[in-house]
Amino acid sequence: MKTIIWWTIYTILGIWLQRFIPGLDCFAPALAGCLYLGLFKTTFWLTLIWIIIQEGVGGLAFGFTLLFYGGIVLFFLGSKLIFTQNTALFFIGASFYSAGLYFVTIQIMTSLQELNVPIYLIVQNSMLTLIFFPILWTIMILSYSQWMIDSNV
Amino acid sequence: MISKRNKFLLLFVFLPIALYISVYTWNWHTGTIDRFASYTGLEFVGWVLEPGIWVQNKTKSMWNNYIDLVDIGKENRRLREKLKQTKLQIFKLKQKNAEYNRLQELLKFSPPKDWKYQGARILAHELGPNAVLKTLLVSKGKTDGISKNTPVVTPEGVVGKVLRTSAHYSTVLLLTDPNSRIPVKGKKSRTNGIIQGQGPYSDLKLSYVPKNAQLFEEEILVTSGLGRIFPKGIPVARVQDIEKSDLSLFKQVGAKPVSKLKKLEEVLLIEMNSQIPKKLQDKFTRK
Repeated sequence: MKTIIWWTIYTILGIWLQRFIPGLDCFAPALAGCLYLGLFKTTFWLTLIWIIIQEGVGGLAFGFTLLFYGGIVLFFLGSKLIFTQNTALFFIGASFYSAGLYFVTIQIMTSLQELNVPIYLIVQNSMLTLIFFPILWTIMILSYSQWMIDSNV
Repeated sequence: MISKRNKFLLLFVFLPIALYISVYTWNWHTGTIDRFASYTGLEFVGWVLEPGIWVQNKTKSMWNNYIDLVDIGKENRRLREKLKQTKLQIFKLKQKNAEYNRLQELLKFSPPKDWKYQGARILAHELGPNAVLKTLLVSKGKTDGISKNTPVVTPEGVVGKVLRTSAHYSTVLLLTDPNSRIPVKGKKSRTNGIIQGQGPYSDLKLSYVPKNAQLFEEEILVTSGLGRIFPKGIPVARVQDIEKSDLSLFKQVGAKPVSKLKKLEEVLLIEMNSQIPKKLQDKFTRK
């Protein structure tokens, strides 16, 4: 129950932050954080719910968020086997990967749907991902550890 | 026998890709997942944002009432509201008059039918990473009679059209988005063209205006009604610059939207009523 309340509050705050910063994604860093903390079951349910939310408010036809979040989840699961995840280098690399993945995925989806989107808008949103991904990732891990893990010990 | 490596590839690479492509194609044809996402995701976001915006507006208005002289504030709001309505009325009367004069000349009079307006509050602009189109989230949806392609205006002019709807909320595609195209004509010259968005930081582009067609700088462009989405005669943009190219058969025309899109707080949605026959409404609102 406590977990559901925590994630509901995170989702509501995330939506409000997205309202104030157009183009920002507050949920991808949280998915990465969940995988970092080993919360696999939570990641599965949150991915489903957040895909529906982002697809619902977005302007593109269904498919972008599934591909983007799928790419994030695969990267973090795969990197668990290969890299040490608690290093600064991994942290920076993951942020660049997310920004790059966003850029490529949105390009593919807008081309498939024959939509005309100015390239500077895609670059702008990719830069937002690059800057905010590590910030939100850190905030999510620290706050979840503080309230959810420490209080259970 | 399938080797372990091939099994892995099949299960984790080819199968998900095939599944994704199948789901994507199926949704592209039917729009089922898009509708489901609108009815759940968009609706949920609307429910999350609307109470907060209500509280925000209430707090703002309480604060304003406190620091302002209450009577002057009230009077000002009443006059502003009246001005908005008068502007709308003048604009409708002007259009009616112009149409009346033209039709009288032709002796084929057909009275313009009334439009049905609904006010909606703007809840958010581009929301989330998926929103790469220039859009607004507004507080009216299917239960209020709003459907895809419903025209969105202000007393000044056109804002855009509805892109997708949920039960109580809708997403509006702004006319400045490069994917927006609206058939227009010059208010004075009556020259037809298509107005196209060029992105948030650029002017609009008026396409398909023949080189020898008449068009004036600062002329207002109004909806022509040819797209069967917007009623005829709503102001869209003001012509800024006209250039003739030696290489093209058409003029290059730049225009600025008449609505102040960056300062919008409320919009009006025009319900498609008797102006457009039911058969055509269905045709243009179908995905």
